[in-house]
Amino acid sequence: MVSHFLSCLEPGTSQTRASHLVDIPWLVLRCGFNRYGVLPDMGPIPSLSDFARYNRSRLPTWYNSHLSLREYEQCTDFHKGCTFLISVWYTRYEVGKRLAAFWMLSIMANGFAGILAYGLTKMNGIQGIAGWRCARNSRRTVPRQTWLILCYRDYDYRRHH
Amino acid sequence: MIIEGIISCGICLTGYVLLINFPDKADGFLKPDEKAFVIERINADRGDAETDEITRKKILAHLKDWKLYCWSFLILSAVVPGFSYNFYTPLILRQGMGYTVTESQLLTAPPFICAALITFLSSLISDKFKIRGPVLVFHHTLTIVGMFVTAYVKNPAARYFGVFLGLGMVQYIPMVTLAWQANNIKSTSKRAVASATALIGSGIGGMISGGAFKTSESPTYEVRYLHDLDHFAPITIVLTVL
Repeated sequence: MVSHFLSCLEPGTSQTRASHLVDIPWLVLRCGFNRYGVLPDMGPIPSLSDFARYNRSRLPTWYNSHLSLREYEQCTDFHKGCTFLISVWYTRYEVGKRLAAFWMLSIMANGFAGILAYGLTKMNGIQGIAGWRCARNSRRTVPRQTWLILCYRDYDYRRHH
Repeated sequence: MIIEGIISCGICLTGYVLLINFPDKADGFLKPDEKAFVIERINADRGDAETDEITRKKILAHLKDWKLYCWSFLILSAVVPGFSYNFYTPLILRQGMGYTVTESQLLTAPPFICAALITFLSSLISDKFKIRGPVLVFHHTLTIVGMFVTAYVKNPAARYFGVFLGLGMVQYIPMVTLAWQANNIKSTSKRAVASATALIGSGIGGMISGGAFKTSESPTYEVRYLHDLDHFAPITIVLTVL
């Protein structure tokens, strides 16, 4: 296993792997979160990250590559915090299917990423906007609004339980 | 770019009103009788509805529990092949099976849809019969079968079936591991620490899988599949210990 692991350490992907390190301190720091601990993932941190990328000429090159992208993705990836909240609210054998319903969205998003990539190649240049910017718009707004809607659905279920 | 950021921040601000807190602190969200009901049923189930304060001392104490790292290791072992499939399915389809770029992009979607349905179905079964381990082992076994089919079968259609099987089964594993871990933890502070330590395995797994498919191994990537299988082997030991 070790030899296989070492064989995978190609220089070209070192930035990608280093970017995963962002996860580790971030997760530990969030040990004390409550519901407000999830909120930074929903807007300010990804937005600041994007703002930094926008001003890329003032930043080191390495920041503007995979590391920045990965940071953005992980901060947006607030389902880690939501997983914790779901496990707090439900009994032991209610957690599984509720986590599954939540993770299904993530799995299906991965699946549609290929179709989205294909669509973006067709959208490049529409309204003077690059295709990848359309992707960022959709990635940011839709999942967060869906999450807020789910909060209301949760409320209705619990009230009538 | 700045306008996009403003939209995100605006939506985020509404979250301060709409996001719910822990059950015992959800005063504005639940009526007193509803809150009492929720707390009562959680206490009847696992007895930790009341949140305990998270302090540095508690975090350090929880971090000394070796079993938390077993969950982390289980998730690491699952996300290495999981991320590999996520990152490289289009590459497998294009270089390994001979599809065009457009076809490979479009053919990426069906296995993930299948994976989502399998994940939900297995979770329903797991919750209904109150079992986690056997379902987890079942998924691990079929993932290994799917990876072998993807790696060694020559027929492109059969290899694509292998992607269905491997990817469809592996996506469930991190989720059920988190659910299994949550079932075995008492107190909110430990649950928070355990969530963090478990997902550290996810981050490290991402690091490993980030450089998974070497160009020199194209188009079969057989060594890569064997590497992923390496990560399944220790799972048997960890599951036995747990």
